[in-house]
Amino acid sequence: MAYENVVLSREAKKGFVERMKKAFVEDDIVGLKEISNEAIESVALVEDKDLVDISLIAYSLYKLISKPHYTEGRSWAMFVDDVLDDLDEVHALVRAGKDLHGILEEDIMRDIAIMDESYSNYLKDVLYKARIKQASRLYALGLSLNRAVALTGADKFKVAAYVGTTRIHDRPFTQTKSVKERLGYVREVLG
Amino acid sequence: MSKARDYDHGRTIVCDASALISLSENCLLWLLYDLDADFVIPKSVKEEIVDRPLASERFEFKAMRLAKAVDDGVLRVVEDRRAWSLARKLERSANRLLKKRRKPVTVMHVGEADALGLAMQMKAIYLLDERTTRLVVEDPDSLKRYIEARMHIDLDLDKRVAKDLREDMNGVRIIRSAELLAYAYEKGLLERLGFNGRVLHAGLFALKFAGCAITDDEIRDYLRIMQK
Repeated sequence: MAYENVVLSREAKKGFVERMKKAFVEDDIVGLKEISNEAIESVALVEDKDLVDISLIAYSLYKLISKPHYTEGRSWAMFVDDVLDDLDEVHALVRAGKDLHGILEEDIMRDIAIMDESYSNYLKDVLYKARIKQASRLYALGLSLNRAVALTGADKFKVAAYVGTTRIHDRPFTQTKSVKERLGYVREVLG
Repeated sequence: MSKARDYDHGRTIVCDASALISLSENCLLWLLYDLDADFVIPKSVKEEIVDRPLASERFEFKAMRLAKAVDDGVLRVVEDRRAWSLARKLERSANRLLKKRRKPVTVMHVGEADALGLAMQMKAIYLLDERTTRLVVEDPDSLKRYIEARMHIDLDLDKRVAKDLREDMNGVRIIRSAELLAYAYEKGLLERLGFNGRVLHAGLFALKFAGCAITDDEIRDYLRIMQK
């Protein structure tokens, strides 16, 4: 994605919501994942809580639609209707320049949490995992760990562990001093 | 809670939460007991790794181990107003370092600045596993190039801010949990774990997998220099 072209205006948010609705209706897992990643990458440059929520919701929806034990559950059809209605409302709110916080967090995320709790095989819910994943994405882009955690609401213990399993720390420009020099600092203090 | 001036700072190591998490996850907190240093944390780090997780079912047990280190006096909590002011100043500067079309890019959080501010105030070694704060301190130009490469954008480094930061930080020395482990290996403290030389290899990778910002190349460097 070309960050140069990201314009964090009403139009950009509207675009994310429209794409998310279309991808959800079409069971487009790849599309939802892309939306989630693009939204969180925008947040790396400009703090925007709505975009964090949009990223987390898109990620969660992508995870839910990729698991048959959710989509074949009895509540799935009602869940889809609720989310689509909410996304229509988000779209209207964005167009009116209104605050999205309530509907994103209190409606859509609550619906996701309820669906997840009903059918999940795991203790850790899909939104929880979304926060960790997207926090690690922000860290991978260069934000500090605490900054990434603060923006996404993820647990730092879990993000640190997740980051450790990736190649983030092996990327160029991350090594600043030799290990010999650093070990020398310890020897200076401890003998 | 202690004040920064109450102790001999010659053997003081100020700890960021990131390094304590890496050590704790690998059951290596005992290193802090065995190494002859004064391990210090600001109140915000204690809140982060002890107080808040103790209130969570998910992390309560992890927090208990760290809480014990605090209760045992191995991790000393220090509150210092000057360090706090310094931290706020550092955070503001760090978040004005890089700009995209003259708009600052916020890279650092106050949480990281607190421990750094205390290390500067106490003129102590700073134990930090997190990568971005280390780059801010040691090589802001590398941070700029890292973010540019990851985000495919062009950034400007504010050279005046970078100069002011460098002067304020006055040569803060950063070590990671990996350095503590390597030092412990050098001093024979890891012999109790067995496995001879393999324990250093395993330990360094374990810290990496727990989030310590060390590269595979650096681990190889350690194995080369420590196992001659």
